Amino acid sequence: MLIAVAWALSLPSQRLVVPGPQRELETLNPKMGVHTRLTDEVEEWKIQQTLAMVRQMGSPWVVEYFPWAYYEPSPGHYEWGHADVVVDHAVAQGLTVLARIDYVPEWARPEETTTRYLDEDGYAAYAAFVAAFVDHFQGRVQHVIIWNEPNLSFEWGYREPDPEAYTELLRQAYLAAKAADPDVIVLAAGLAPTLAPVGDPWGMNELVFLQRMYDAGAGQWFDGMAAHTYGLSFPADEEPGEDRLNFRRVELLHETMVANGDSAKPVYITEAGWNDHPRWTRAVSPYERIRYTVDAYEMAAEDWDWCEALCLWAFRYPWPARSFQDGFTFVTPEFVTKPIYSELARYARGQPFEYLEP
Amino acid sequence: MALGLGLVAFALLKMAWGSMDIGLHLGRDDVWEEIQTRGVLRVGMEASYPPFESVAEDGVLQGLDVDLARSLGERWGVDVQFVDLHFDGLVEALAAGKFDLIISALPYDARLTRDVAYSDPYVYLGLRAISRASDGPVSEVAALGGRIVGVELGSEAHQYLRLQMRDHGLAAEVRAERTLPQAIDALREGEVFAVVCDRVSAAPYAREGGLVGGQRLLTAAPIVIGLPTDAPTLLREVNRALDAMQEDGTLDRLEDRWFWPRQVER
Repeated sequence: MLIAVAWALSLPSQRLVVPGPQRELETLNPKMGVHTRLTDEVEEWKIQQTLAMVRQMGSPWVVEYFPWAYYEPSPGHYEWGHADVVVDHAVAQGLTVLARIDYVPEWARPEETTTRYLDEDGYAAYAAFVAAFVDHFQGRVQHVIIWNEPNLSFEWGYREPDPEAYTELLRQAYLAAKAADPDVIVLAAGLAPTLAPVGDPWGMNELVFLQRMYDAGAGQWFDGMAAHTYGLSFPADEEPGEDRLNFRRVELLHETMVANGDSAKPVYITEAGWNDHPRWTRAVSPYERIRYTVDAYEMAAEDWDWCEALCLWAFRYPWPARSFQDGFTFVTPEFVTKPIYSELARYARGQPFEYLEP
Repeated sequence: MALGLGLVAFALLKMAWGSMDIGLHLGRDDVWEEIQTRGVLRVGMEASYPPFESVAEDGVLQGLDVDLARSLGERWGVDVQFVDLHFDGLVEALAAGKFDLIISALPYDARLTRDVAYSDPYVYLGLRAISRASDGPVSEVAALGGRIVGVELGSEAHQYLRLQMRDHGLAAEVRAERTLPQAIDALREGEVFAVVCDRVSAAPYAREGGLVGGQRLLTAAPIVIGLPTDAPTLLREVNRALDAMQEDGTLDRLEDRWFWPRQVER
């Protein structure tokens, strides 16, 4: 008996959760997408369950965050284990992954700086990580997003946003990524929509930031543009304007691209959506959120031929935020679906809504 | 049941906080000294979360947290300066020294204790049941068993009841209305036994029109002040001030002003 137990224990451990064969995804709107938050999800079955529910909702696109610091803990030493799990399950569910890459390891930045701080001396190290990521995930992940919201001081290490410096970071990352895989699609960072006035210490208007990127020659260093566009308290179809933040503000971003000769490049909306928390002043009611979200997916499919995917923030958190941020999700940490989830699943299949009036 | 376990958990948390407080007394606190030298307490918040913090029509900050911060300033003899920043960036901004405290309806989060120190709780948020006064208050989720319960479609209460039914054996029928006022109307008409909603949303309905709020929250989440992890004196002084505010009735008055009517036992 003891020998049998010892023999059993000596066998290599087997994964209890396996990705399995690739599943087929059913949807009438191939631009539907969500931003998942699996970075800090520990249990593999929860990763699988999350991604299975994304597929069942009819969303073929997922944006996921791959923090540089997690996967390169020391220079040149890569630990892809968790990222492999996430990507393999996503692929098995028939999903296309858009990989956001930032979050600077301690070894790549000065002491007393934040995880978004990177000196120009560190750009090569970041580019090398992007190349390693592209190489490792070749055939599984084709899209990489270079940094996140660099027009915010918070996302730029609490320094003044610097479009020219970001362009240099983008250039180095682009060249390194293409050297690793010429077919990889490099996306410029999603910029935070903001009306920050000139000189604001916390951020720079994203339209100004993008124009300055183009002025610095960024146009040749990305294949597509990631974009963030939140509806806040306004319906999906509200007119855009330079003096307001709403869902269609992304049209102004696209116009800036067109004005700079980039009309052929696609836009991938990697953060968007509405919040239905009862306290937050920028939220809407849960019913309005369902209405606006369906309208937004429909708009992306019917009216925006330049938009490749519309990925909404955020499918599910691993734990409750216990703040207004919970009002962005579609599924609770315990996998209880919200009405918005079931309504979108019906929308994706062309079935009658349960709650939403036609 | 849930609240009972919650209270035990909070008691343990309180013990942990107390231990942390003692342990941190040994270090020097530049943050506290700079507040004294500067004569200004800098407070970070996202002013878009009434009744805790919001911008009034005249552009002035208002809310429970604003009053709480000013009360701290008065007790310490310093002015208060507010920094309005997106909630997602508050913890990193605190770590970067952009302000001294986060007072922004901040929920306690055990995962972040490497990055931020937490004060004792100064208020609890959570879900609450409203029922007809003739039926008496509903203070336990078990009391909803066998009943029709109203919620706002897609609200936190809606998800909570779904979870209770799926995982905890609650046998209730949930009726989801498009808005909370519609759910309250259904309660008044006798179409549902109770309505569950968040504590702050419940307040306007909990004492009027023959309705009554539960005497305890069905769920409870502690709201705390966030501090730098290397500020032991500041942490001690914040907790002392909160204790004093509890004793002299300041916290109750703040809740009465911003959550009226307050009738939840802690």
